[in-house]
Amino acid sequence: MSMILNYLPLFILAVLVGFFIITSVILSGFIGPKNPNTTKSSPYECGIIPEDTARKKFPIKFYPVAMLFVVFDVELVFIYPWAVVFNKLGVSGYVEMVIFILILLVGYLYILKRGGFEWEKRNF
Amino acid sequence: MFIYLFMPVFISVLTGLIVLLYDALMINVRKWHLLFISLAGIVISILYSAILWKLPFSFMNGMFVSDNFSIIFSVLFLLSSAIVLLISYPYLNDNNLNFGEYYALILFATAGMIFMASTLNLIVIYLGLELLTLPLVILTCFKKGRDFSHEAAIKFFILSVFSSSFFLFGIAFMFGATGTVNIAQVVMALSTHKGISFPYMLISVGLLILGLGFKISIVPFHIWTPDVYHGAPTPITAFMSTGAKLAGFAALIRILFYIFPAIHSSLTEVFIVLSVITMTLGNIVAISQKNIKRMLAYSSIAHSGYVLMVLTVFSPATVAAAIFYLIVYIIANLGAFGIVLTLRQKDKEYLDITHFSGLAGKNPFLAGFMAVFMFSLAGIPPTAGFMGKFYLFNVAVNNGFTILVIVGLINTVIAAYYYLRIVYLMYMKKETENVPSTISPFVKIPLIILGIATVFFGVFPSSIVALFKTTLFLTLKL
Repeated sequence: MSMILNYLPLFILAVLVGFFIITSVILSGFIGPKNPNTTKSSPYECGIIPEDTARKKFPIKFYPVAMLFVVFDVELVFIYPWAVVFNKLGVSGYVEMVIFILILLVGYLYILKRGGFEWEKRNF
Repeated sequence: MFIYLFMPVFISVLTGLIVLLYDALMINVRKWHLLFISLAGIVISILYSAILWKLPFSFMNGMFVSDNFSIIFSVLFLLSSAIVLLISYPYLNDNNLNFGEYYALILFATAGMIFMASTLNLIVIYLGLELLTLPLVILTCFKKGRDFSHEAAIKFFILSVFSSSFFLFGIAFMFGATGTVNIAQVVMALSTHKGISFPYMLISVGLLILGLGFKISIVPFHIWTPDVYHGAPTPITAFMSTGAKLAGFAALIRILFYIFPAIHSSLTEVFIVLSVITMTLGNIVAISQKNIKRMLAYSSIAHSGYVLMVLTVFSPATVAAAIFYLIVYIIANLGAFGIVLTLRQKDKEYLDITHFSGLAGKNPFLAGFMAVFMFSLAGIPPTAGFMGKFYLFNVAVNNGFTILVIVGLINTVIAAYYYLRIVYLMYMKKETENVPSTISPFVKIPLIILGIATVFFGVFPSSIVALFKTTLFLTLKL
């Protein structure tokens, strides 16, 4: 029971946050002045003017780019906390990270040689 | 010390990476180099497993264990991968599929299987399951541009993700009920606060059986099997029906062995029902199949049912009988798929059952071996299949499951119909259509080895079963 009591402040905070979000959204809907125009109602108020619906077919070439990005991005997610505790981990931590990066390096070389980074060459 | 423990799995992954890079980086790749590197890796891996025999060792509280049970299964996985690589080599060349990726994916899947067999930790089993499934999905649609195999791959992917999520849910319940994901500690944890967590434990075990039951295709979860086996390239079908299935059984036996003492009274009936419906449905539906791959798919479902028969009770004899039966089954199944692979010309395959008519007159070598493998799958005396069924039924009778054995015997008779039909077509019928056959030494040598093994285990089974009985069980209890 005492375990659960320890979380009471967190619970109160969560309730307060939820309350604040909901009330501010509803209140601003009621109180705020409304002067809509086309630019304001567009999905992106600033930037490039949208031309067409987004729900259409994309060339599949974009998807591998996203996938490759995720792979190497996740690598960074692992390396960052490793770097923070580098001294505590000692030699074994270093060796493990080297193995991990080597495996990813194999993947990188593989993608490079199979033409994964060359936009024109791809024919999926 | 512990680095030796990981050697079998480490070497398979390393070989996979080497093959991948070798094919991508080298300019003039001779294709047989890829095969050679992969086989060399597998052989080294097997040798390392053999070194670890009878040296039980547990690493990080059972996260990775190496005992005789895991070693036997590791060697079986590696051997079946090696045979699959050999028999697929001419197939890959004829279909222009001979890339390093193929070898690498098979080796990665093998590593996943070894993980599944050699751990006491449910999370690691899950990781192994995923490491096995993802390469299999890619391999299923390895032959690009066939709608059929793409469909099979998507079905396989969606359903296996679904079943993995059930498996994970089961692990979560297990942790909730006992506070541990180490199956060796589950029973102990359960005995301290039994009343509250027992129902959750049952839910957990049910979900775990569901997740693994998908892999070994026991009946309510078998729907994917015929379609995926049919759509995948034939060597991959062989791989799925042997190695992957064996991995599921390894994990299932391991989990049940530890959890059984806690909940055996609730599980026995479940396994009786699953066993009966699995073998009956598999055998009856197999009769009406026109396609040899679909027929073998249903036959593999039925064989899972036979093995489930002895998982209702655990003793040295049970585990030995189950493993012996699985070995017999993978030998015969690899052989049968090897012969299915030879009936083709370039990339056109002849997969109808009627394509076997008159094979004996044209090619007595192939027909003779096919007959041996079919006899073994049907369970006819001089072959290993008979001894496998003998030990299985013997154990079941000794433990008082006579009804189950009667159902099993009736099923064996039903199964004999569709296995022997192939033999009948090969020897008694005239050839209806000109079916070419391509035999290369890469297929011939494994076929001869598998054929000899089938007959050998049929004549001298007792030594290997006794070996399993004495060495397996004691070390399983770490």
